[in-house]
Amino acid sequence: MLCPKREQKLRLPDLDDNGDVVPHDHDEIQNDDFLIRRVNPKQHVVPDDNRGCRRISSKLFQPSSAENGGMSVDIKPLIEGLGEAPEQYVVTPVFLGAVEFSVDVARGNNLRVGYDPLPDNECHGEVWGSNRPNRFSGSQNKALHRSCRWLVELDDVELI
Amino acid sequence: MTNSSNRGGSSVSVLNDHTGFQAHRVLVDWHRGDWWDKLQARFKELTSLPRGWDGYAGVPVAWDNASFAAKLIGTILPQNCPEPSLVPGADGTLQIEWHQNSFDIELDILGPNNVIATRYNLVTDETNEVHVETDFSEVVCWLDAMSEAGAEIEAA
Amino acid sequence: MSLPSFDNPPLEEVVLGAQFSSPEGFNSTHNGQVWSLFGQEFPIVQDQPRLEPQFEVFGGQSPQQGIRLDFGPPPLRNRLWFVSNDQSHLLQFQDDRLLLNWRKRKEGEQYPRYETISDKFSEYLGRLDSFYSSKYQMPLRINQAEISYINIIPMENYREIGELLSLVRPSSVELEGINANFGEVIRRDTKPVARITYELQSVSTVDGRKRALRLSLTYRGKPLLENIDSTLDFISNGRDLIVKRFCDITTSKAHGLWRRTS
Repeated sequence: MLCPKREQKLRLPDLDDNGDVVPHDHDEIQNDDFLIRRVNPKQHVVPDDNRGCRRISSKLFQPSSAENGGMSVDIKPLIEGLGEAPEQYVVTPVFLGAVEFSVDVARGNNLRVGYDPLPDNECHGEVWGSNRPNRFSGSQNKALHRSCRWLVELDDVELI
Repeated sequence: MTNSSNRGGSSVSVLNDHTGFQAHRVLVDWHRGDWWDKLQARFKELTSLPRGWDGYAGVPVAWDNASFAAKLIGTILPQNCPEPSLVPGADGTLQIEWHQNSFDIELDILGPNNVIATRYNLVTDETNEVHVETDFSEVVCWLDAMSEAGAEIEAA
Repeated sequence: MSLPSFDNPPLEEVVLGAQFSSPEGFNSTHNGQVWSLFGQEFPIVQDQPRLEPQFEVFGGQSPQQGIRLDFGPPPLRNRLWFVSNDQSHLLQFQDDRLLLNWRKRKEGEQYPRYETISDKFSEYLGRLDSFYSSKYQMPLRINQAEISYINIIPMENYREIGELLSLVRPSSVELEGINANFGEVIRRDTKPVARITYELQSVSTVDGRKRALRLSLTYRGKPLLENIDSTLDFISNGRDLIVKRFCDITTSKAHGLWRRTS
């Protein structure tokens, strides 16, 4: 289903000397906006005998360990602003699952939510830690994991 | 017994090249069960992941991270340890994890000798987290406890 | 307190080594540029099989019996030997390793002493570090270092092993051969910092006429920091310990034979 197109552009972020986005919290991304995180069913799903299921690994909710690395997300309202259906957008060109969580959950756990457009994904954003941009604490990781919901559900896979 | 790291002639010593002395070597192979072969295949898969495998800019697991993780598994797992899962990170890192016998144990390999180890006990709701460089004694205790809990469950 | 010293030790080879992260963007065509850093001292080049990564970790129950996972093939990059004209020194290079070997080429050849080899190794690491920083925007990030002392002890009858090595006293056992290794964890303030691996093997010439024992001691682990200075500190500590341990595991008779001077 296509969403009604509404112009939604974000102010471009500052770049460092290497041309990489400086970790930031973007004030034009609203707390009640949703962020999408893509899930690879072959790589991100693990067996959990404790809970009797297959479920998403916590590793999905860790940022890149590179300096100033963040956790890639798709900013849902930007996708909708293009007139695209988010659940189609995130599974193209490679079919993957996807979960979503609100910006409020991230910021409420002292994480920063920023904008990082890419040549092949203008809706791309990042979530960074505050003290350490490139590492979330156990509780931050759990908070994102426990609050997420399916956008594109994977068969027989639990969230947690 | 001998350290098999020198198998195949790949040794840092070049001595045999000129002294004419040949060693009498014995190699011992250990077998850990069916999942060992699966794990080897999994490592191969992770180090060969295509760019963008995660839907973003994900890269394959870095060779030295995979080598370190393999070394770790080969060295610290107790004999009766259950099969671990391996999960790649977008940045070339990987996580070794178990969710069994009322424990969640995760070893996030951020680099050689740079590991964040976490254990969650479902029964007591207790979480432990340690940053480990070389001394995995505490992690070994965790794995022992998890493996023994599994043995008790099987015996019961 | 000065280290034990010998005028005529059975030392045949010394190896100093560093392992570091492979730089992104390295490929085999860069080997020639690396060789040009050392070509003047090491004009001869030879291809060798690649060395596998080595990591010392502690806490496992049987580190010596650690199982190896093979998930090859490794990156398609050979190891190269850069050899000096007189063959006594060689530099071993691959994208994630640099090792300097001294090896005894003829009877009576004097060991050049640790400080000489160590200074050279430091200099070579420095050259490689500058090259990596310039070409890959990444200095050497050293994650393991090692030093090995390899001895060949002539021994026609392995029954005599107890006369030179205090480790093994076969007394009435008619030893046909020996092949053993064991490890020792080295701690600083209870924290494991390195491992010494002792390897003892019976060896012989191809025609079987000459027999000997090959005794090697290798000190390996992660330096405190990733830089060259910390690496050389680590290696120097290893060397000191290896020399002391060598004395501990060999007998007074052996020390007399090898002319111990201190």
